[in-house]
Amino acid sequence: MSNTHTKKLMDKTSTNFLNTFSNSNAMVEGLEVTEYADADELMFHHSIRTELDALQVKPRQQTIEKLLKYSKSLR
Amino acid sequence: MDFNLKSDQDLIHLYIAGEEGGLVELIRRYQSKIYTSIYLLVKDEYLAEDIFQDTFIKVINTLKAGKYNEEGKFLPWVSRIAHNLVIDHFRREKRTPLVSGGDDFDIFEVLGNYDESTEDRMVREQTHKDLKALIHLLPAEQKEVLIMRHFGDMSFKEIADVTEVSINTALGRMRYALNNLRKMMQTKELSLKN
Repeated sequence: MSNTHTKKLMDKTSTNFLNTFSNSNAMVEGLEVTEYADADELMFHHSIRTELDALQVKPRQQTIEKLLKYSKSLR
Repeated sequence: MDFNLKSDQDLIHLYIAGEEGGLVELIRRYQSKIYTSIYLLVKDEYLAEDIFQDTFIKVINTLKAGKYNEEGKFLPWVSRIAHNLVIDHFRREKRTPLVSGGDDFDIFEVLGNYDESTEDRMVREQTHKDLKALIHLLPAEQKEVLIMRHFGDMSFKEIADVTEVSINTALGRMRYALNNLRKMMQTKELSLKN
């Protein structure tokens, strides 16, 4: 895949969305901005939410116990 | 008392009033999101444990001192503390989590638009195996926004404040992050099919 082709692919999703007005609820200095330019982007974000959530890991229980012990020591 | 039915604000009030169970539930509720946010940025589980601990020590001290601002939501507030501690760590270490490519970063330069050996290709495909690996390939600014938005539940205004950019820039970085992830996944699927 050539650099020209990949640049064109990146350009297709470039920042014209910043000028897009929608019913999205973010108001910035009088301009209404949107998190998604189209349905594809919204669908992709929703599709990876579950996968992003699946990345979650917990700290060690030992760390939690230290914190709780610290909190009690302040009483 | 059934703490898991209480709102965050109720748990905070209970904790400030002396009920340790309030803190236990808040930590139980958000430990994974906060720890994961830190871990994805620092990529070291032991360091992430230390920063996680420091984060909640600050949380505890602020709550005990009666200095918590009730107007804000708890998770974004804790995420902000964690993020600032990660930044402090990197400043002390004088290194960055990823090479910053700027806001016009081209993900295909990272994916490799060059001649590579079969061994290199296998290593690359292995690396791209899961979403975590792909996230680590994002430029620092984009990864940061993605993590704060998804795991920290932060608004774009909060993200903009923390990263000292405009809200439009924060939004743009999130868009680029998602689009770059999508392209990397599509490229990976294409390479597997061929």
